Amino acid sequence: MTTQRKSLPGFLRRSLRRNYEEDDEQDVDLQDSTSHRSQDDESYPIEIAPISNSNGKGRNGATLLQNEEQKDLVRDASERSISSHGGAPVADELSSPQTNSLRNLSSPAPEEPSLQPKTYKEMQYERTLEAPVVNLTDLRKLTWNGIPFQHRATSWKLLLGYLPTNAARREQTLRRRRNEYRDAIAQHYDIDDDSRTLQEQETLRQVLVDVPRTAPSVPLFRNERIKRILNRLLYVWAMRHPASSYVQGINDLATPLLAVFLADYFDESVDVLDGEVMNQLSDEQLDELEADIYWCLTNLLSSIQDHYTSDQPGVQRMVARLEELVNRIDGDLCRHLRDTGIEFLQFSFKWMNCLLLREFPLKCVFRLWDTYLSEKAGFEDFHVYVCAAFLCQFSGQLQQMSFDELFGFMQDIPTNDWTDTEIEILLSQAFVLTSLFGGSDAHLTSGQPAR
Amino acid sequence: MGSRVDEEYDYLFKIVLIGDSGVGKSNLLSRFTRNEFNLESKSTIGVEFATKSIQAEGKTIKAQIWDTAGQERYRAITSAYYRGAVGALLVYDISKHPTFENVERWLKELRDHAEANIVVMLVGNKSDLRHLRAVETDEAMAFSEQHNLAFIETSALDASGVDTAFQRILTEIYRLMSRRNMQAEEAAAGSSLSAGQTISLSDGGKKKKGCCA
Repeated sequence: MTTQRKSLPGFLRRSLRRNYEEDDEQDVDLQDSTSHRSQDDESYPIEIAPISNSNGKGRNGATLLQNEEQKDLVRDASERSISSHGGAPVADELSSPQTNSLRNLSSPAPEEPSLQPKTYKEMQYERTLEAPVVNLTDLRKLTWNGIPFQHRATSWKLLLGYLPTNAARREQTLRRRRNEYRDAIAQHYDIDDDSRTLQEQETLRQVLVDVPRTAPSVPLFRNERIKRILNRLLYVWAMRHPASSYVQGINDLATPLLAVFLADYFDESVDVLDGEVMNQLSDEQLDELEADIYWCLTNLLSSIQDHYTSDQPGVQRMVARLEELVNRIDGDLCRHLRDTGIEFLQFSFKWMNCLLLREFPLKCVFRLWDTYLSEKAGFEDFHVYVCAAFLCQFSGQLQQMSFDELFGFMQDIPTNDWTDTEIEILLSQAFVLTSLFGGSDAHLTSGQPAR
Repeated sequence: MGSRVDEEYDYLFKIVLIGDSGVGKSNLLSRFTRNEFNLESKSTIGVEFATKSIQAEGKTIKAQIWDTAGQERYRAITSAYYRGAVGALLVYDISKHPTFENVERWLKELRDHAEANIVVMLVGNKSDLRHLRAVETDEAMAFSEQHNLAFIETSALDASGVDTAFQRILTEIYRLMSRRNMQAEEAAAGSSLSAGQTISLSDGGKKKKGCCA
């Protein structure tokens, strides 16, 4: 199955170009020290993922942009970056226009390559993460463009407000949090069913029904130890957040945290998703892992709390914003959807409720969340733009479809072969949309009467 | 996506699948429409949708089936999909008695949100789990007679009863609709239409699929 991608609409191209023009004057220095591409290598595919990992596992040549217009766009951009830096093409710049306009990093590139050269990006991560007090603003700038494997878990924990920015306080805080969680398990989970209210029994039943069908295609989640920690942490979270309690889909949100934090116990070459690592993890490590996931999930959910309260106003609001946004970006598509009788709520409810986790392979979600966590309100605000960019990618195909076909397509959007590359294109498109329409947020939400 | 055959049909009936989460609604749908079963399918968020055409009494009937999320929290969203539905499969799990006890609550949902004359069939799913049976067939049958519901036991896993369930409810809807239309015609011949007369969404005879490429 091939994924047909719609070309960038003209206004997006114009806007991108505008961004680059503005940036000519700025001091952008994101040169990847391991970059070795020659300037005139016209046929070289656009490398959207700029991360060269320490073990040399780069993502070179991952994707050829299929569309002529997109090629033009990116060529246009890379020419600019060449001219403004006088050096090799700077891959980082292409990964996100945001790099150019907002997220300039002014530190100089490393001078001499050591025996095992670290990428500039890695050095930036190390410097940022190893500081006595981590500067979250700096970290956000870095993480927008994707986090290298070895820094991902720590970065996520910092950005989710779980790990203290002050290094001196980390150990103590982690110990306290993990103890607190252990107490919560004793209080809520390890008790007789008789001492639960009917409501609590129903919540537990729902969790126990859903955990076995969480990310069913990923072997890791079929592991009994993993199911057990999911049962416990979802139930404890529900008990401690009675206004929403457990809602189907929250189980999905725990999966990226679990996979990323688990991977942090192992080398990058180990694929934790196949579940085999579970034999190597001690009970103590598993307890730590569980507590860390619990607290990070708690912090994540607190930023989108009204998605899961009665009537799910947060989800409804985001669906409405998406419709409004798509109406302005791609009126033809909106008209077609309306004519066929399909409603945004019917297909995008799930996108909001599960934050697109049902739409992408789990591995792609890690990259998506790097950027969501980098944004101030990534899961609430930026997510709507990502959804809009996602929908509009398929605009051409969708406009040929009848109601039945549309619904079938939306339930099974062909993203099985997606990698970080496609996610980064999506993120870039979403970013362009925020710069075009972000300022008019007030307009988008003006359905609410002003006070 | 399924077959792209551009079929014609005589009637289009909207059916909803409701019941507690985990009773097998999504698998009933996939078994009926695609002959597929997935032991570890994901929970349904919001609604999902599929169609299939069957033959009943010489007519082609296209079923448009809406599969809804079972969790209470989603009721506000899912109940909107009851609108216009002419049939409902109310599913419970024969191996989990609480899912049967909740049938009354689901009937109330239908009374509150669906058309008054919606045809409801009670479906005891997972009949393959004989050794775990918690709801006796007699018990469910008595309940359905008492509430004037059709009743069947199915197994989406081994496919038993699934086609029959859909076939029966669709045929039943078709008969009711024909009878109602006939009555309406008689009434119209005598006097003007009486108030509150409900004609199902498929009155007006033959429909052809229009807009497909």
